[in-house]
Amino acid sequence: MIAASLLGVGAPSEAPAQRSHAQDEPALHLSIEGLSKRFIGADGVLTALDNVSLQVRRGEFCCIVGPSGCGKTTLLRIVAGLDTHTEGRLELRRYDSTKPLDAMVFQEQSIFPWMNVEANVAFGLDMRGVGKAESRDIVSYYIDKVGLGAFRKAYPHQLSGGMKQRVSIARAFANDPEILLMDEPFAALDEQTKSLLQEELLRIWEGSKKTVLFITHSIDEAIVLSDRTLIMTARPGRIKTDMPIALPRPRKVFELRGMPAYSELSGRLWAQLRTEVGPSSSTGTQP
Amino acid sequence: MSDAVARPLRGLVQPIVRPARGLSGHPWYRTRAAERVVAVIAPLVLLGLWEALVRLGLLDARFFPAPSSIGGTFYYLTFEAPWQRSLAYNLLVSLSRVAMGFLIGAIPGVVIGIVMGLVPLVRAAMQPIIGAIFPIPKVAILPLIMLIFGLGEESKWAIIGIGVFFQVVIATAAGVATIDRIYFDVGKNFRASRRATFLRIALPGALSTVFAGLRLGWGMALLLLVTAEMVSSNEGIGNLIWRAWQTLAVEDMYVGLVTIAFIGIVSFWLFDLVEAKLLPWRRAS
Repeated sequence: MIAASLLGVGAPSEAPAQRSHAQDEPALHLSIEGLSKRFIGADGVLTALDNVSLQVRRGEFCCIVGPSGCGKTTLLRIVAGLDTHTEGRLELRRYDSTKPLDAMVFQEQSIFPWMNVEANVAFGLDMRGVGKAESRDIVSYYIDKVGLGAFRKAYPHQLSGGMKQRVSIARAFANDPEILLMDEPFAALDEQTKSLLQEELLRIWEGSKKTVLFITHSIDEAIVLSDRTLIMTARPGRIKTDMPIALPRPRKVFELRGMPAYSELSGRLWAQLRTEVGPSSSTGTQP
Repeated sequence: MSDAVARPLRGLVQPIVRPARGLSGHPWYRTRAAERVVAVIAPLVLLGLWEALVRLGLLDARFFPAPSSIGGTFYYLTFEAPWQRSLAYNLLVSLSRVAMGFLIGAIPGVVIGIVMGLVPLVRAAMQPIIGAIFPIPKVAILPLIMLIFGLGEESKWAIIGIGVFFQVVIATAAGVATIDRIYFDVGKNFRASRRATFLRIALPGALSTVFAGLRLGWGMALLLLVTAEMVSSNEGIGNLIWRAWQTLAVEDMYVGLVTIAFIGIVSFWLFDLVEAKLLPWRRAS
């Protein structure tokens, strides 16, 4: 069961339209095959990503968990077109030509300090040339949705870390992309804020049903959020495990953590990940 | 054993009481109000002392004329002197020169600086040229500038413009180059056009460094203004100071010095004002 979607990688990809008709299953949105990222370092060629293959279906919330430095951020940046790969194939499919393909929520502080909350959230819409009136409505909607209604005119230096990430999430959603790329967006936040934001993200996402590729180092976060969790090996990064997270939706983050299924998934994922984060992490176990 | 005797209160708990201090919390001489009053009084005391020392004959009035007589000259130059000799006229001439020269230098400085910051090839081409010319004291090329532009206004604009340009272009290029890469990634991710990247990321991101460059440039502009006016001009504040030396009219000289100081204070205060207006995101940070 676990290996099912991994096996799918080997099969040649068909035209997206045919595929979605032929099967009941949602269509592929992102497909990566044998992707590697190497660069020339001080002591020879360094491999950051080694033969990564994965597929994300349309409307799926997919998490990638990996130890620090395994190249998961690099993988996401390659998907976003902010970085390049050296080998392999990366295919993104477009289903709605009126929408932008992707929008990214970055790990660090990435909202513009020189724009207030409204202008930050409107950034993507401005770049696409969306009309002022329409843009104002969308921006207003998402600012309210992330609970920053009272801070429309505030500048980032007046906001807390959690509020800044809320702005970043609103900015990505307001642009209404087909695929949402999230790079450890909650890593720098305290536990309470993190849980609140996870809950908020789920609430907004469940309404939109966007495809999400979410990078994290936290197993808990992956279980709570995703439909499917991939585990990456320590550097050079490879996909080691592909595990469906069959927990019911809509999810309540705090309730979920008390469920037996949560503990069971947590245990299984930990067993996979722990060999990667230990001191002898340099040797992968997967062929 | 003897150690125990040296500590007589051993075993007794001594309470330490910290009394509440009320709202102000500080004695009067440590309040902000007191600092402000002292900041106003101190220079006045100095002026009073100066006046007293001159009147008592303890300070040589040939070099340090009493503030009251400088004040008299100030009044004369402002209200009674013929227009061509008046302080207002000289001030006007100097201000229009320095403003013109500043704009000539600052505008291309900002534009070229941003392009250098954004395009590595342009930076690679400009860096050695700017690096070679910048260290030359601008005063040293004043004769060359006068040779090229003559003795009129153009040579003043040119020398001020050159001085300002280098300060501003270096600050701006550095400002853009040090903008956190992530903001350009965001721009790329949201498919920002070149124009939008320039106007909405590079320019605002570099603006506070640009302002630092503009301030340096303005200081340089005032310096070059006075120098150029001393060397080749029949009007302006620099000329007023120079002519005062030639005619040994020391009071005139002090009026010129106070005026140029006043220009400096007011203009830097204006810079603060404009910066606060243009960079609202830095107000409280």
